[in-house]
Amino acid sequence: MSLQHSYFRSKAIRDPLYGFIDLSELETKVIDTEIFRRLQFIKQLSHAYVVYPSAIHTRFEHSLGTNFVSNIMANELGFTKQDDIERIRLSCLLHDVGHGPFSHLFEAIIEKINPTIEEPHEKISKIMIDEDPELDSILSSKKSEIIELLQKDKISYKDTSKLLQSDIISSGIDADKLDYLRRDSYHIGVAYGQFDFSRILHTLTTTPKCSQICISNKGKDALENYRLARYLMHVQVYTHHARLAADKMFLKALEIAIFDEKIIDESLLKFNPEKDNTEFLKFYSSLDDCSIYNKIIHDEKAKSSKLILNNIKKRKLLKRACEFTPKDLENAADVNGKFMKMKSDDFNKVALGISDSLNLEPHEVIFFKSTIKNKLFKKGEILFRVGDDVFDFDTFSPISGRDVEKFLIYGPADKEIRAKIASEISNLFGVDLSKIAPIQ
Amino acid sequence: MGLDVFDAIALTIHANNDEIISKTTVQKLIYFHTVTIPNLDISNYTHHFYGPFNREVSTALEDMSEFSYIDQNIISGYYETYNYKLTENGIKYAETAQQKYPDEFNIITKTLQICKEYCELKPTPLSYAAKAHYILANSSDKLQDKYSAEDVKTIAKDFDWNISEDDALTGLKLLQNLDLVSTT
Repeated sequence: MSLQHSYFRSKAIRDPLYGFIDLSELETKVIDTEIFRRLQFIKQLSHAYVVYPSAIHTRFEHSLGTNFVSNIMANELGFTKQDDIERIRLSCLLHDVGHGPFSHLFEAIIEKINPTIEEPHEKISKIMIDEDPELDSILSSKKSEIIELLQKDKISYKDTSKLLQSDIISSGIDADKLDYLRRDSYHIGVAYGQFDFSRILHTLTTTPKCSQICISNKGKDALENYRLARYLMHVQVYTHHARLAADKMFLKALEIAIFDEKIIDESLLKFNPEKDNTEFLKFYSSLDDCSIYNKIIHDEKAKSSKLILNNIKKRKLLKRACEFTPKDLENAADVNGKFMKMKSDDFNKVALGISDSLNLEPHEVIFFKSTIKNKLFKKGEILFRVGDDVFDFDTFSPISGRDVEKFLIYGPADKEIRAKIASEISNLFGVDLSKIAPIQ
Repeated sequence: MGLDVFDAIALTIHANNDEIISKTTVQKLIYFHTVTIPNLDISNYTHHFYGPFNREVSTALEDMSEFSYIDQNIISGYYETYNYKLTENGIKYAETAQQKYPDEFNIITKTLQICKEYCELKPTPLSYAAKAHYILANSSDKLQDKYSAEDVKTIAKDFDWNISEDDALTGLKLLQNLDLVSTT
């Protein structure tokens, strides 16, 4: 047994995908910190459990899985130094540590409260790794290298080894996606996220200068399988209409709780990457999926927010009134691109206008654009190598995948009300009612 | 507020009789616009294996096609090439943007004319020029005012880009025509 092998085998944790996940003594200490254990109470798939009841696995086991996959990738890509492998493993272990309750939903709130901060999720991860005293005492000097790997754009183009290490954490073929597609698929009982995992790992290689991950020619079919799996998981699971309804209802409840009912103090969610964030960290790290529900539901001031959350709990979800695609707007003669450029505030305004005109509660109409960014089918996302030549995978693939965009409008269960909502939308957007297909 | 990515794309295609062939050509032309138009409001180009790349441009091209401002057709060949043509709505969109940003449209038209005269908007020479410019702007090896095609070729290796001295020269000459470099 090599020294490196024993170093990373201080503790073994059972995992349904990999059998056992081995951790070093240091990694074991990291996963036992309060802010890491918090991930056990943040579901990986947010409200997908309203459709798939067993979608209740958490960011915690995904983080462990990513750590495991990263080790295999590091070996396949030729990293042999223990320091390099440890840095990659720790970065993968900590890549999701900045997630808030219901992950990306809470991110939307954080963005709203901190509008001048770009990529707040990444900044929060950095703050947590950098400023949490418990993590600081464990990681000490290693933490700056971890933060560097998690922020690829900060790595010098000359540091090819770090760029390649960073690709293991975030790229077209990274440990994150290689874990979560199969893990989500396993936990919810669908086959869409399955792909030839071993073949991909076995055919990993690099660009000639060893700065980016590539796949060798023999892995190209496995790669098609992998990117198709990602697309199908998005269609079937991540953007399932009922899950989106629950997610958007939760977001609405959260906005009301913070901005209208003042149940959660907005100032506690403000942070500044350049200053001390002790108070922010203390509050943010106390939040998880369950605590945020309880905080709102059990507050005396809660009215609409409480009603919405209780409706989600009882699965009394808003239902689709209609949906349409950008192509349906073809004849709308929108010469300013107003529909194409709509942002979340614009959608909210339309929804409020409709709820007002139909005498509904403001939270009873939800309008948004759902987008599946098929980024693995885009130029430059995945490279493959034949001999010394590197090609863009998408150039050779017979399969192309454009983004999928859909406008969705939800309303109360009452079919007549939803028909009226569809009619309002038809007037506002200048599309035929028959085209936007009211959904009964 | 200045031009956004949609305006820049629409005006670029509009400046070429409402039609441009190749995704790479659009990417690289917008790259030059980011250098020549101060109030162009789009994110920075980042390093990519094939040269400077901007995801916002790529996504906006798809959006404009989805929303029927652009007809996007694939020209078959060994490699797929895209042909982008403004639709009737796209032309109206571009004309509205042109009225709003007349000075910027003039700069875009000038850039298009120079590139057209130099290489008929072929993606490969445009790509060499964009790479050379990106190298000169981002290299930590400061070259001051004096640099040669050989310098560019050498530094390109640091970026994992394999370009010959002739390729570098092709790119630098176009940059010179565009007034984006002072000496070679």
